[in-house]
Amino acid sequence: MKNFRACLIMAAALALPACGEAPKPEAEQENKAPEGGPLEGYVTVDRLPMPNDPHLVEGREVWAGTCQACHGLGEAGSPKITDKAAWAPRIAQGIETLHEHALQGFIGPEGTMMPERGGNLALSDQQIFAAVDFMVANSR
Amino acid sequence: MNIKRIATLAGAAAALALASGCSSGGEAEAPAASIDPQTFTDSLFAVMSSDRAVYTQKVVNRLQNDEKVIKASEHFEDDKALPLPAQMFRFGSEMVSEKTDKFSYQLLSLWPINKQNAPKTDVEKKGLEFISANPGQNFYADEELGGKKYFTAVYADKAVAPACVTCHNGHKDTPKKDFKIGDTMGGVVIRVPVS
Repeated sequence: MKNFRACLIMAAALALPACGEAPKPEAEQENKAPEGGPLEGYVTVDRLPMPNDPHLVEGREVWAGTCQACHGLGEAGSPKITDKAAWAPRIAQGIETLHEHALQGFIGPEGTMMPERGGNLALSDQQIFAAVDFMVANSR
Repeated sequence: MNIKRIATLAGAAAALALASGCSSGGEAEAPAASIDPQTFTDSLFAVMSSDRAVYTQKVVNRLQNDEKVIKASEHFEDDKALPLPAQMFRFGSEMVSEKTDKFSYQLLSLWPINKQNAPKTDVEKKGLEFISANPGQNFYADEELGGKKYFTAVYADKAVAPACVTCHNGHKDTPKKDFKIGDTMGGVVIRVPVS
């Protein structure tokens, strides 16, 4: 009886953390990078899954219009979308840092240059963040 | 040393002499090396584009944009500034044309600031149109000019820095004023005479 009670308590203890776990944000569950390396060739948005999150849908549109020309290919040393290995150390810096780099422009340790606002000064901050989030969602 | 040993040594020496005589008396011809034209132009382009990228990143970006100790300018002598990466590229191309006729290369555009840098041949024009319409792809073609045959390759040249678009868009001689970052602004044309 004692053992049975102990088992019950243990089972409850094990179950509780699962109940308490916050559900993963939808953005994290969408658009994982393909396994086995980055997509070959020029990666355009039509080759990537359509997101469900409206924030990422907006990001997709902005990305196609401004970011795809470089990040779809990895031009000028830029990290190519779907390239997990290239993006991992960048993602590790935190999404706020990546947002800031896209907003302000950034020169990397090897002298590679990310232009301010992706070179499109007409974009709002919100649009830029959405494009970055879309790219990150497809690259991890 | 007995007779037998002398004979053995003499025989070995004679054999050696024969062997070396055979190999040196009529040099074996080295196999003709060959490289296909596309590998040749791809390799040249890899060097050109890497050198330009190094100049852009380690010199211009670092000193102008990061350390802010010098600028890059089209009028670099008057301004005591660094040449632009595109100018550095052109200077290399001019120097190569003085050194060799085994290949030539130029930076051309469908929308050049300087009309001399417009495409002159049908293949150049077709190549520049192709690379604009097909990001990520190179263009290769056989060409005949003045009775001579060539292999011609065209590689995309993109606007990767704000300076590229702002200068071209604002230049008094530009035929196009709405370039944006990531646009293919022109192409590197490498031409190799082939027999």
